[in-house]
Amino acid sequence: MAGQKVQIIQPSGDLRKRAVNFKTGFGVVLSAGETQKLQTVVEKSSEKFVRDIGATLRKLREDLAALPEGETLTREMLQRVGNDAIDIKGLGGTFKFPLLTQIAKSLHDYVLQIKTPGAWNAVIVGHHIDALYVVLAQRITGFGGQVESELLVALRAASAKYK
Amino acid sequence: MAEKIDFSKVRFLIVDPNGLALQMLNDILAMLGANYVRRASDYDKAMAVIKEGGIDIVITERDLTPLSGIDMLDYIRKDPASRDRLLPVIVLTARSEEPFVIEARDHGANEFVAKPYTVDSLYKRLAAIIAFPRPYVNAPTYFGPERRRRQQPFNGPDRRGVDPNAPPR
Repeated sequence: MAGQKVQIIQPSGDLRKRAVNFKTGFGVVLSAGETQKLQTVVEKSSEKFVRDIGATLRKLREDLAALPEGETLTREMLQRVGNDAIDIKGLGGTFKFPLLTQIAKSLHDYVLQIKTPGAWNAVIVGHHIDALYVVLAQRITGFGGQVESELLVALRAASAKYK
Repeated sequence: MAEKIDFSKVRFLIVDPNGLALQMLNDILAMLGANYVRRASDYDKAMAVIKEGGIDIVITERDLTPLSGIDMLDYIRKDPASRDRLLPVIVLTARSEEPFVIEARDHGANEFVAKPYTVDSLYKRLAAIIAFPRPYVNAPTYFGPERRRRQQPFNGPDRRGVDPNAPPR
């Protein structure tokens, strides 16, 4: 690396010249009113979020219930559970369901570390999905209360025990 | 008088495999006044738009198929065929753990927003890119925006060779 200089390139400033002005648009720092206005977009999508995630969870529950006695999750199912969990993790908090985000993170972390799927894995995944479903069905926004905190602790403990 | 950002002058590409996430981001940008927003649900569709050119800001999820948002960053910053190596990219992802933040930064992301996000947190990153663009660094092992955010006094050797008053090495 000796002798190879680092080049600093100044941004062209073209985008700033085009978009920044003193008349129209949103403040460089949002005012409370502007934040509120943007927040309405999220609130408008909230019902769709509940419907979409509800449908995802119902499908996961059906697929788990359809597993023959003694069978466990396939790699493909684990992949799908992981993908759905990361989606729910990413969306929950935005729609004021941070508890969904936390449970979904626990599920995603759990699925990621499964090396050879066993019978217990389906049970733990099922408990996570049930918990997500209840939070959504009961519209538990925020972090919930003591019961919800204990639920999360229990899910994490079960996940750690039945790897 | 305070500065404002007119988002109708900014052309966006937004990329997310999740339909609801993509729609919500599109709706937020529309509320801001953006009227040029291209949408893509996977890597290939996003790359087709990037190769066409005419985009000012890319907002992408990290996890895409068949390749990732990080591969997209690599193309933009490093590929000789890239039309704009300085194209601003925001990585907006549910992969919010520290290694993913470092990965995005080291591959040249301008900003990183962890999902779940608030409209305020997203807006701050957009405003930073548009109103306060950072310089880019072209080094043997890195090309991308300046990674140091805080300007602190530095008394070490001038390894970048950018200080005309620095003593010879």
